[in-house]
Amino acid sequence: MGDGTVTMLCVDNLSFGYAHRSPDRPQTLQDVQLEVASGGFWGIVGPNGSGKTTLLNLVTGQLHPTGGRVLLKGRPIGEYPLDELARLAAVVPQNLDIRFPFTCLDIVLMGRIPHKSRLAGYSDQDLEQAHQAMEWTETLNFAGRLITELSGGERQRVIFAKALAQQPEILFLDEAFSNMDVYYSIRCLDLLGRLCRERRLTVVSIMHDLNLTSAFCSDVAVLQAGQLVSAGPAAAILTPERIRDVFRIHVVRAGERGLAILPEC
Amino acid sequence: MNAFERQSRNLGELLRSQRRTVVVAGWSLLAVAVLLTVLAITFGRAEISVADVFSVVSGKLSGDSSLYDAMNPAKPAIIWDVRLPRILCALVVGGGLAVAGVVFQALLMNPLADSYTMGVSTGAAFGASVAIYLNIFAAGNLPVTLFAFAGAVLTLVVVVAIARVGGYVSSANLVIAGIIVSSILTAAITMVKSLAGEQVSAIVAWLIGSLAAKTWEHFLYGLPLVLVACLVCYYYAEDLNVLSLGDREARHLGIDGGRLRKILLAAGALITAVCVAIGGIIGFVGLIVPHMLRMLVGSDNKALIPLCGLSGGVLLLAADTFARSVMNVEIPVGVLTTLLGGPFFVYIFRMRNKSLQ
Repeated sequence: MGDGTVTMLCVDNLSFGYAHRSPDRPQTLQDVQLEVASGGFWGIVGPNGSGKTTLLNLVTGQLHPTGGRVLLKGRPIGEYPLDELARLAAVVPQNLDIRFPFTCLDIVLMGRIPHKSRLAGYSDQDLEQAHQAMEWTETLNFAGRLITELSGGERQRVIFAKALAQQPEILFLDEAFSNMDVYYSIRCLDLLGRLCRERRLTVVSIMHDLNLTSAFCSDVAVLQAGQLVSAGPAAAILTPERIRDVFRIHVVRAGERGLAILPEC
Repeated sequence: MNAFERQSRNLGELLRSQRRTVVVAGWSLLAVAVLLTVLAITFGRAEISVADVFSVVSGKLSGDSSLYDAMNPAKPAIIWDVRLPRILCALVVGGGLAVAGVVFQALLMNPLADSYTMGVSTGAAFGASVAIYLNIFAAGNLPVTLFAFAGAVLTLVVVVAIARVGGYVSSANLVIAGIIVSSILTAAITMVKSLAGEQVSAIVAWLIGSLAAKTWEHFLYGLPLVLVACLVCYYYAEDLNVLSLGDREARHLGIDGGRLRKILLAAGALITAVCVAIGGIIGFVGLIVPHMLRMLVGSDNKALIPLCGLSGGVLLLAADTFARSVMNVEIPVGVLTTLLGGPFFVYIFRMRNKSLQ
């Protein structure tokens, strides 16, 4: 691309199917083609079972594709050593079950592990990054508290802070705001938007709320039954017509970037 | 100073205060361990004073026998050849069991796991029972320790093989496989016992878990093995923190969970095998010590591993000293730790569940 943007993530003809495939269990993902420019804020939307999480697991290297490939900064994701990959990409899972009483500071500082050598202590820079991430996510007050004592939404913010402390160039999120209240969901999405614009962070996030997707994402990819239905700038993709086709609900435009969901199906 | 600097300093301060708790706890435990060692030598049927302990130990260490020549010759023998090796073995076995416990818990993502959950202890006990049985009936002279170790390692290999699905070993599978293999081995031990007929007492006495009649030999081969395995665990402590959040998290933070799990399982199995070979079945140390320490210093394994080593040793030494000196008959320490540790664990467990509500 000539306009100064670089391709951060390239999903090239990606397919995935589980080993025991049958006619009633078709391939979970088919020939997905997607190009994510650096600084983009992509939302992945689609009904249940459309392959969103499978796609995310493939692009983060958690699953291996049965066809096609994933390029991160032009290099196949499988060719990255794990520690180098961890300095480039961070992942915020939907639910992270933490059974041991770590303090929140312990958890956020784990995000610095890819940047330090084993047995070395945390440097001032590590602490600064942790502080920055906790300030952004408004979790500084929890720093000394045990993660096991927090509510689901608070815990998600701490995990989110850990991923930000990792200082990735690309951040993947799997409905990472599902337990947060609306206020914090919006605060976090707004933060991500700012980081994309100001620091060229690239974000790829699975989204449930179409209204928030439309309001905050720069681009949207719509999945349906394992296939990429459409992808492009959010305003052009999330039209009431397409939403009705894919999600079987009625919406109307509300304001400049918002959507309002109507009660009837 | 602007707000940013102040807050950043606060995080550093918080981190330092977490460290400080750990360092203070570490030095206190070390002091308690030394004090308890000296006191434990004086406990028992033979009258021995603290001064006797110092002259014999310093005399033996410096090779200057004039320091204890004036004593009744039985005293140096009791201090140096009977009580001291037993005490040192208690420290090594207790510390080892606690470190193995904390490592297995983090690896299996289960705060209620230990080397018994993995079947490793039962495997070691089975190997030892077979050796004792063969020694009785085939009049052999097989090394019980080596058999215990082989039993532990073989069990670990089998458990991991059962748990492996598509080249991947998950923690849930490990727990299930450990329980299956453990119950089979328990039945096998019972069979060996019944085959032994009237000679069963030799096996029972060994399985029951006791530190009686431990010699310098036990300590001198146990210490380096346990110490090296503990150092390996300490080296990977931070990676272990991440792995205790799951393989996926570990991967995203640049850590190969499969490889790390293999290394740490092997280290944990080695510690367990040595401990079971020296002391037989001693339950609950590996479960309770990490639990109590987590309440005190949190879950950072970099702090937990050394602290577990110290407090596990102190706890088992205290239990063993109590077991051998309080009543006329010696209580096997394995029985004592389970009798006291079991109910105490129920208490912790209930408290924890209450605080979750």
